[in-house]
Amino acid sequence: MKRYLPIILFLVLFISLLQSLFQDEMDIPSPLIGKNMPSFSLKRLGENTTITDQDLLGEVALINVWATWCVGCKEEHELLLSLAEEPSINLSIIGINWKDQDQLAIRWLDELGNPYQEILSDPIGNTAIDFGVYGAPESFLIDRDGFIRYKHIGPLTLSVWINEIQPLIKELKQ
Amino acid sequence: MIPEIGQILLIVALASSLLQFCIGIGFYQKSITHSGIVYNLSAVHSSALLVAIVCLGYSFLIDDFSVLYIALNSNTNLPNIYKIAAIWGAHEGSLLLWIFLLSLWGVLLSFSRKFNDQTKTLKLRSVAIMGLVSFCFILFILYTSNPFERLFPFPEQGRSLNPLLQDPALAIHPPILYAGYVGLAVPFSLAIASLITINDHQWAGIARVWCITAWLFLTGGIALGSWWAYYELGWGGWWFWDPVENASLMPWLVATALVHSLVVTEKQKLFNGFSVLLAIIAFSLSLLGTFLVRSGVLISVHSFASDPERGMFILALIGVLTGGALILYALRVKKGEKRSLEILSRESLLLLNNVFLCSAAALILIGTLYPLIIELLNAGKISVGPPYFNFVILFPFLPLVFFIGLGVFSTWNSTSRNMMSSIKWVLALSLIAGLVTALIVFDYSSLLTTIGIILAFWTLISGLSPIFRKTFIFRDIIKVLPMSLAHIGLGLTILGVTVTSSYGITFDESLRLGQSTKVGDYVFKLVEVNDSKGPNYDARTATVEISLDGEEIAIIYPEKRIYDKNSPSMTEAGIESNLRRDLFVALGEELGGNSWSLHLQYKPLLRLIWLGPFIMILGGLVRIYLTKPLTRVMS
Amino acid sequence: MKYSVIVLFLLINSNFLIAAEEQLTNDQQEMYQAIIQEVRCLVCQNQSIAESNADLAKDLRAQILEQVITGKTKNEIKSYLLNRYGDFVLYQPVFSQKTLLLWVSPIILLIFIVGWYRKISH
Repeated sequence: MKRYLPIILFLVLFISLLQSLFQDEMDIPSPLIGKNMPSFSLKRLGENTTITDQDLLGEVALINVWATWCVGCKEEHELLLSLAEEPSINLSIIGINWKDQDQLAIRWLDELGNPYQEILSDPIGNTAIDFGVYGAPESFLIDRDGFIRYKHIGPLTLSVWINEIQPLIKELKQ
Repeated sequence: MIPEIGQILLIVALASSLLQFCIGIGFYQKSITHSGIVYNLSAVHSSALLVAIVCLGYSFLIDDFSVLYIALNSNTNLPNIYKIAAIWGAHEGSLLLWIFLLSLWGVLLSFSRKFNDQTKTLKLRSVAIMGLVSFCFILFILYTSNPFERLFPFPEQGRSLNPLLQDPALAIHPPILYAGYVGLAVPFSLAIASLITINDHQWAGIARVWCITAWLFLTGGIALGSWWAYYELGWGGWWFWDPVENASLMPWLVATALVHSLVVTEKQKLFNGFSVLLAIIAFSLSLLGTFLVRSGVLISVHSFASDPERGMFILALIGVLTGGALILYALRVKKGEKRSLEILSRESLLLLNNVFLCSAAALILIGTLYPLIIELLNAGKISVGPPYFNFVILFPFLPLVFFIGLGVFSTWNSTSRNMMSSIKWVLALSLIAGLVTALIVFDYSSLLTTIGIILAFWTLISGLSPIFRKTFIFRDIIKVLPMSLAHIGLGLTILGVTVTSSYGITFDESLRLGQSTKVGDYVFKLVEVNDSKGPNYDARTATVEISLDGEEIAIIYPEKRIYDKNSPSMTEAGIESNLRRDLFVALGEELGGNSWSLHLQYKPLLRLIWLGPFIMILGGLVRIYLTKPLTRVMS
Repeated sequence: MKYSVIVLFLLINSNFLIAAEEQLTNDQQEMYQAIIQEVRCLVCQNQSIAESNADLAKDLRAQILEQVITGKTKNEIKSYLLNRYGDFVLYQPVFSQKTLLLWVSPIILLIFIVGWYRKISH
C-alpha cells in the first residue's frame, strides 16, 4: 500500500500544476472593496482649492487614477471621453493625477480632451497608496455613501464597462 | 547556413537519442549484443549537440541578427565573452545547454568501466533511459523553443543581453548548475534500470559516485548563484527563497539524502526501495524546477519569458518520466527485509537524517506552491517569502544538524558503545567554542543564535574528529576525509549563516560629499562621485573610504550604471571583504545638495557561507578521485 | 504661492523624505530595515521593496520611513499595508484559515517523523 503513495501524491501535484497553467490572474485583489473610500484632501489640478472625500458623497462616481507618463491611460481615454459626453450616462468621473506635474497634466488634457468632472493632484502618491494603487491606470466605482464597490486594474475597456460597471451603476442608483 | 546546420544537428540528436532508447531498452530482441551500438549512439547524439552549440556560439560572435534568439539577446557592442555566455542567457539557448550536458552525462555513463558482467544489462538499460530523457527534451526544443529560429526581416542591431547578466558569473553559474540538475538523471536512470532488471541493491554502489558528482555540481551551482546575487543585485542579499532558488535547493537536499541512503544500500543491503524512490524524486525535482522557471506559473526574478504552451509540454514530459518512474516503482519495487534497526546504529541515524532532509525539501515545496494552490481555490493572492521559510526550515534543520554529529560517531548494526565517551568531548568542546563565540566574540543576540552557533561548532568538530581519531594513518584518513570535509563545510556554512543573519548591520543613509557615518565599528566616508564610461554603459562612480579605529582600511567604488535609457539603472556594489567580514556599499539616488543615499552593510563571517560549499566540493572530489584509487594502491 | 511651489518641488524630488533617514536611531533603522525586507514590491518579479528600484517601491519605503519616525510599531505599519493592498503585499503569510495548513505543516511533519521512526525501530 505504501508503494502507491508516491504516485498518488504525484498525481495530485500534477493536476494542480496543470490547473495552474490555465490561471491567468495577474491582478492583485483589493481589500478595499466594500469599505469606505479612504479619506483624503487634495488640491484641484492647477488651482489652489481643495477637495476632500466628503465632497464626493451623494453621487455614484468613477474615480480614475491616471498620469501623463502612463501608456495605458491614453488607451482608455477615448472611452472615458465618450462616457463623459454621453448624456444618458449620468456618471461623475473624478480623475486623480498620480505622481505627475500639473503643467504636463493640463497640457495633456487640453490636447486629448477632459472627461473629468473634477481632477485632483496627488504628486507624492500618499492618497494613491491609501487607495491601494500600485500602477496606472486604475479605476474605482464608489456609491452614494462613499463605499468602494468595484476596482478595475489597467485601462478600462468597453467590455468591462458593459459587463461589470454599467450593471453595477444601475444597481447603485436605485 | 550555420543556424540551419545547427537545426539539422538537433534533428540528428533527436533521432539518435530515440534509437538509443529503443534499442537499449530492448525493443529489439538481441539488444545485449547491440550494446556497443547504443553506447555509440549516445556519443553521436552528444557530438551533434556539441556542434549545434558551437554553431549557435559562432552565430553570436558574428552578430547574425537574422537568428531571432541572437537578435533578442545580443548586440554589436556586447563584449565577446558575453556573446558566448549569451548562448545560455535566455530560455531557448539555456535549454540547448541543458540537453547537451544531459547527453554528456549519457556518454560518461556509456563508456564507464564501473560495470561488470553481472551489471552490464543494468548499464544498457540505464543508458537507454538517459536516451529517453534526452529525446523528450530535444523534442521539447524542436517543437516549442528552437534557438535557431530565423527572423525576417532581420534588424541591424540586436536588443542586447539583460545588464544583470553581463557579468563573468554568467559564464560559469548556469553550466555548473545545469550539470548538477541533469547529472541527477544518471542515478534516476540507474534506479529505473534496476527496477526493470535485477531489482536489488547492486545499482547502489555504482550510482553512488555518479550521485556524488552530480551533487558536487549542484552544490557549486547553488553557491555560485548565491554569491552572484550578493555582489550583483546591489542590496547585499544572498538568498531570497525565490521559487527558482527553492527549485535548486530541493533537489540538492534530496540528492544529499540519496548519497547517504546509497551508502546504506550498498554496504548493508538495506533501504533499497527508499534509495530507488529518492533517486526518482531527486531528478523529478530537477524537472519540476525546469517547469517552474519556464512555464510562468510562479513569479520570479529568474523566470525566463513564460509561455503556457511550453509549460504544458514540460508538464507532459514530467508526467511521462516521473509518472512512469513512480508507476514502475509501485509495481516492481521489492519489499525490503523487515529488519528492525538498533536505535543509534549508523543505518538508523542515516535513515532518520534522510527523513529530516526530505521533510525540509517537502516544506520548501509546500511553501513554494502554496500561493499557487490558494489562487487555484479562488481564495485570493498571498505571498510566501523569506519570513516564512526562515522560520519553518528550522524545524527539520535543527534536529538534523544535531543528529549529523551523532551519526559521525555511529557504527553499523549496533549502537556504538564508544559513542557516548567520544561524544562527551566533542559536545563539551562545541559548547565551549559556541558559547565563547556567541557571548564573548559577539554579544549575546538571542537563544536561537546561540544554539545555531553551538550547532555549527558541533558539526565542525564532529566532522574533524574522525581525522584525529585515526591517529594519522594515511589510508584511513583518506577514507573518512570526504565525509569530514563535507561536514566541516556544512558547519562553516551554518556558522556563516547564523552569525551574518544575527550580527549583520544594515543602514540606509544619505550622505553629503565629504560626510561620514558609522556602521558598527566602521566609519564610511563618501569622498566624491565621478562620471565614467564602460564598453556599453555610462556610470556614476562613488569613492568611499572605510576606516576602523581611525585608520583607513579600504577605499571602494560603488557604481550606478546606465546601459540604455529605457532600462532602470544597475547598481554595482562596492565590497571590501575578507574571511572575517564583508563591508558593502551600494550607491542609491542622487539627492539635492550634493547628497547621495547609500546602502551600507556590515556582514560578519559572510564568506563562510560560500567557503562551506567549496570545502564540501573538495570532500566530494576527494571521494571521487582519491579514495578508491588510493586505498586500492595502498592495500 | 511661491512657498507651496517650492515645497511641492522638494516633495516631488523626495529630498525631504529621504533626508529624514539621517534622523533615525539605531533601533529605528533596524526596524525600518526589517520591515522593508518583508514588504513585497507589487510591480516587480518577486522582490522586496528593500531591493527594488521601482517607483512604487521607493514610495512605499518613504511612507514606511515616515511612519517609523513618527513612532508606529511594526504591527501598525504592517496593518497599514495590509488594509490597502491585501495579503499579497507581505512576505510573511498572515495566519488565517486559509494559511492554517501552511503554518501547521512543519509541526505535523515533525510529529509524523517521530511517530514513524519509533514504529520502525521496534
